[in-house]
Amino acid sequence: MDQLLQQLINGLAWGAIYALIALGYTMVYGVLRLINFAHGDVYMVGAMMAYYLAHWLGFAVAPSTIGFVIVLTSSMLICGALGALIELVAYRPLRNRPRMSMLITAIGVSMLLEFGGQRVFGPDPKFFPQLIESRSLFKAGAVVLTNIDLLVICVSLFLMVVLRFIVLRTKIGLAVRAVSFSFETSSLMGINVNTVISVTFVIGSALAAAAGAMVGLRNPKIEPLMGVLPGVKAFVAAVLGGIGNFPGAVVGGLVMGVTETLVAAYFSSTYRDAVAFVILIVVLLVRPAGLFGKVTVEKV
Amino acid sequence: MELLKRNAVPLLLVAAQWPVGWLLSQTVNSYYLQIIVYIGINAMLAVSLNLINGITGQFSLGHAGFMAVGAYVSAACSLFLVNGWPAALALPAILLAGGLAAALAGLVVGLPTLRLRGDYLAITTLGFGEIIRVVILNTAAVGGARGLGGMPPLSDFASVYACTIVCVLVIWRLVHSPLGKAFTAVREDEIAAAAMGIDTTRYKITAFVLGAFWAGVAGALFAHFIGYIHTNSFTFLKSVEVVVMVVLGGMGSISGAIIAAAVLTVLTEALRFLADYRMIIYSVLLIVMMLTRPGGLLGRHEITQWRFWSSRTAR
Amino acid sequence: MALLELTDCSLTFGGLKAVSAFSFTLDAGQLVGLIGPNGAGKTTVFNLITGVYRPDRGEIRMQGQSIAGLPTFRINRSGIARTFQGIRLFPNMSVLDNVVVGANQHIARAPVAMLFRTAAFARHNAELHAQCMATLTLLGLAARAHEAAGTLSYGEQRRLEIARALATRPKLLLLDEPAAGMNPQEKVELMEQIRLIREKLQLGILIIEHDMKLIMKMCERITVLDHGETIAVGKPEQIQIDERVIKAYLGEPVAHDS
Ligand SMILES: Nc1ncnc2c1ncn2[C@@H]1O[C@H](COP(=O)(O)OP(=O)(O)O)[C@@H](O)[C@H]1O
Ligand SMILES: [Mg+2]
Repeated sequence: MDQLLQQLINGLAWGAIYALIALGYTMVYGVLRLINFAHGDVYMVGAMMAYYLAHWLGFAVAPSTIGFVIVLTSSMLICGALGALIELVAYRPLRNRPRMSMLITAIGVSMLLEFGGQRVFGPDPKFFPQLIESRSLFKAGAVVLTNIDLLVICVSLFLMVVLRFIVLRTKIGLAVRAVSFSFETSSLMGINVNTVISVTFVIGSALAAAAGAMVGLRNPKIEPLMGVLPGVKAFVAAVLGGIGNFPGAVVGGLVMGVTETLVAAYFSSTYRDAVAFVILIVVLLVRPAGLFGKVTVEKV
Repeated sequence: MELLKRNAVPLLLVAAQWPVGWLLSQTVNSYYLQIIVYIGINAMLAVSLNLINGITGQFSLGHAGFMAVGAYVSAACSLFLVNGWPAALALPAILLAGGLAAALAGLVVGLPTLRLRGDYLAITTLGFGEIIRVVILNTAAVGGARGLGGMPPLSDFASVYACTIVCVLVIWRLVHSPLGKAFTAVREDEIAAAAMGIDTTRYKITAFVLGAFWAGVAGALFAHFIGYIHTNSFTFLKSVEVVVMVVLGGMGSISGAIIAAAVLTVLTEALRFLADYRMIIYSVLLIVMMLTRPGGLLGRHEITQWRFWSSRTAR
Repeated sequence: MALLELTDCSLTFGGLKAVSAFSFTLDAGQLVGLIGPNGAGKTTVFNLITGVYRPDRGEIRMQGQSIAGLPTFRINRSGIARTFQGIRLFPNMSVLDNVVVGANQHIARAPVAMLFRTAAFARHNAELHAQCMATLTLLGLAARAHEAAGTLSYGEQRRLEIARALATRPKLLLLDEPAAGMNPQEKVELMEQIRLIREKLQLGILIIEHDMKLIMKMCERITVLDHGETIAVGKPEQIQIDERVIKAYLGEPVAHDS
């Protein structure tokens, strides 16, 4: 029982990370119908940026919560810009070409970030500085809730609430929803589709960066290929929730994190990474539109 | 008899690989011979992936995974099953075993995915490739993380090139036959193809399974050429390498895929001193190609604009 | 027995009732028109019949067999072929190959013969080739057989859509605005070709068209849709003077003559 609770806490923390990444997939898929393969690598860049910022700004030697907040937000800003840049250079010129073209450049960008990352950051794992010292907040029997777990979950929740506010209550959010609904109609209505798509990439990438920076606190080993598997898993989470659906991405991420942790704990840790694949196959077989997605029909 | 006469050229071509192989082994040093063999294997991979990605318009990122299945199953076969058979029997047996195992894996991955939109296949096959690696790494019977060695050197220049020729011929004749035109139709417009009575899912699965089969054969040939295999030879990067070949050659062009396979294999060797930058070069190549020459080197055209199906040859 | 029979078919998109309680029959060999202002739901009716969309409610029968909910390719094999309002050819394939794809289900499935290119295979190819060329000739496209479909003119592409549909050997042909974008000369030719096809192949035709002259001249019967509702059914001369039809068209702010 204790172990189950403990695993649930771990699973939720991982789930929150997946959810943040999954939101970016879902947003981009919503506006461009593109699986942004590079998204997992933006998450890696987020972790790397946080690492370097923490060192440059001196927070690595003098940890503080303020320091963490500064590192987190700066990393989000940098990756937001990176996301917009990727869209501008690699996706925008291909928007009217067959969708396959964009998918191929997305893979190219992903590999460029991974292997360029190995050149720039070095291929070996780095150790993320302890910006916030890990303490146990709560202990009942063998169950421990650390401040880091709580922080990861709370920051993720906070960001999701902000996102929800932006999407539902602001003009740009309305525009994002309109573009997701229909490209042509939106531009006829005077929405600047290019701006909306850029904003989508900025927000999605910033969320991934936040996930990257926070993952450094829990699992300090970071390296240039760290984004590959979480990227795939977060995508599966988005599909599970119903791609294009925001609450779906969050639920999908949490389900993914918890399932994976439980499988690793009770079954076999080597097959931890296989969980995502099995979930994907099952979803595609049983409910391809995902838990909350609607079946969409192409207009003929 | 009639069959032999109608297929004399391909048959002679296949048979000619043995004397050519002998000649090469007498004249070319083993390093170059190895590169030449790799060209054959990569051409087989590129042409079979081209059937899936270029001609049928799906997007598989799992070719290395199918290659791994073929390599490991065939290796297990030759080590444990057909051990001691004469090479002339053992070779076809392990090639078939590797190919069929990969085809079966392709069916398992393809059935749930190919009913849906093409881009889901990309992520499913990517996941599949990773899972296969995890499974192999954790299976002690095939060596796990140590890799698997000791396979007899059943394949050589002649068998690799004979298989490559057969692979190219089968795929070429398939997609240029009246029935096979539907593969291209699926790529061009799935809804229109369905409205013409084409069972699009079936065509997609056929392409995918056949592509996986040849990737498995390529894996089997590879395993029995170098005699030692490790999952590191079948990572996601290998899949991407094959995708780069298909893109470079022009999505849908069979001859383009072969040329691109040769060019990239040679370049990879020639640029060995740039090894650290190889993947960076590949990725930039992919992006720049898509932005500037999305049709690839040859576009959708074949190097010969010869049509097997046309009034000329039908008579 | 009717060739095609729709009973009480409805489909909504979100809140929009694209087609409501649509009932319709077409007998073998009939040529029927489906008209209505833009957005009336005509194309959606085609999509329902061909299984691109699935009706929320209602029954669709082809020669007595229920086809609602079947996949599109099965519906085509039951004898219904269509053209698309927004042309959907296989643009990078040759004109001839587009028709060959249409004939797919009538090509013998003989993998061994195909792989070894047997004499029988060559013979079948020659036959198929001749048939497809004949279909192209019927629509005046034989001379363009080896060009890429995407390079044809607009009018030619529309005719190729018909040729490709005919290659599936349908009993019922659905034409979605086949004359759209054609000049008057081409329209006259098209009418002649449709008449010829009907005579030769004895098939039922359901045609959506905005050109009233063309519709009134060709059709035996016309169904009029507006906002998804059937507002009139009858002979051309009845439709011409039907008050609700006139109102539906006059109520439309923009002329629909394209
Ligand atoms: N896939 C779809 N999703 C949402 N709305 C659709 C879809 N297909 C058609 N519609 C809507 O249904 C209505 C009828 O469309 P349609 O059948 O194309 O009209 P038309 O009579 O001009 O052919 C229109 O308002 C159209 O916007
Ligand atoms: Mg219409």
